[in-house]
Amino acid sequence: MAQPPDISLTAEQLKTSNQQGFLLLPGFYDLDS
Amino acid sequence: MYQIIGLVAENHGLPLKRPPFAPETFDAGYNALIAGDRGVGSAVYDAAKLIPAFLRLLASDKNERLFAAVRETDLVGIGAASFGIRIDNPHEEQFRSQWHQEFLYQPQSLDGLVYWSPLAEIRENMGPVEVCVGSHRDGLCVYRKGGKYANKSGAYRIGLADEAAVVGRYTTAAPLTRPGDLLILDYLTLHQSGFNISERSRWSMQFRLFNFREPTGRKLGWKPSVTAGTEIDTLFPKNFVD
Repeated sequence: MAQPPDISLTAEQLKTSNQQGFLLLPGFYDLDS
Repeated sequence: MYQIIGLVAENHGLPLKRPPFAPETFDAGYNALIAGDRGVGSAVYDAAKLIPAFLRLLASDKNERLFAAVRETDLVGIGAASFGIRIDNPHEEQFRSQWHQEFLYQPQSLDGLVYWSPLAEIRENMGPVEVCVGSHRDGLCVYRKGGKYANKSGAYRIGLADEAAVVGRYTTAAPLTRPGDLLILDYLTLHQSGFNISERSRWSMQFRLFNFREPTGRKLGWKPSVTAGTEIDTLFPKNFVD
């Protein structure tokens, strides 16, 4: 069975998201798959 | 999308001269098509959200797990009528989203997230999403129908009351993005579509996920998008002025 994708965010990313109200995740999707 | 654009052109009996398919120009012919008949663009817009690959990505495990991680919830939802592929055409104001917060139009949970991801590289002249940094911490704003946006269509007529003053309280950011990148926005973050002054439409996917456990959304009953008929001025009477 395939493992679920790892989308764990760093503490810094979560802090940025909470402070700014948005977060950019470069290359989050693999559009070729 | 390339094939759908071709089919829509055929459906309308419109000639379409364009190069063979290439990923980076998947929308070849679209701008020429709408230059001849803008209404044809609506058919492409409606069809885009019917593509299985798009729906698979929307409902993907990856999207769900990201939301669960950011909001620390075990019960993630997808807002009814909340997803699609925006096609923001050059120099077109009628359907541009001015400053707003998503929760007003998507009353599913206060801690919902917009997932915004471009299908083509977004350069500055294509109008990247503009965000008021930290605005989500100040709660749901007050809005007005019939103000400076009164001549627009449907929900696009709704604008922030005292828009310039409200937006002026914040610094703004407008991240540039590429296909594959994902921008997530808090449902209370003030944001708007940038102005597309390029020659190519800005194609972007929008998903909206929410937290079934958030108390306000739960009390409201996880309402669908305003575009599906939710009467938001009735739902949020304190957030509208004449």
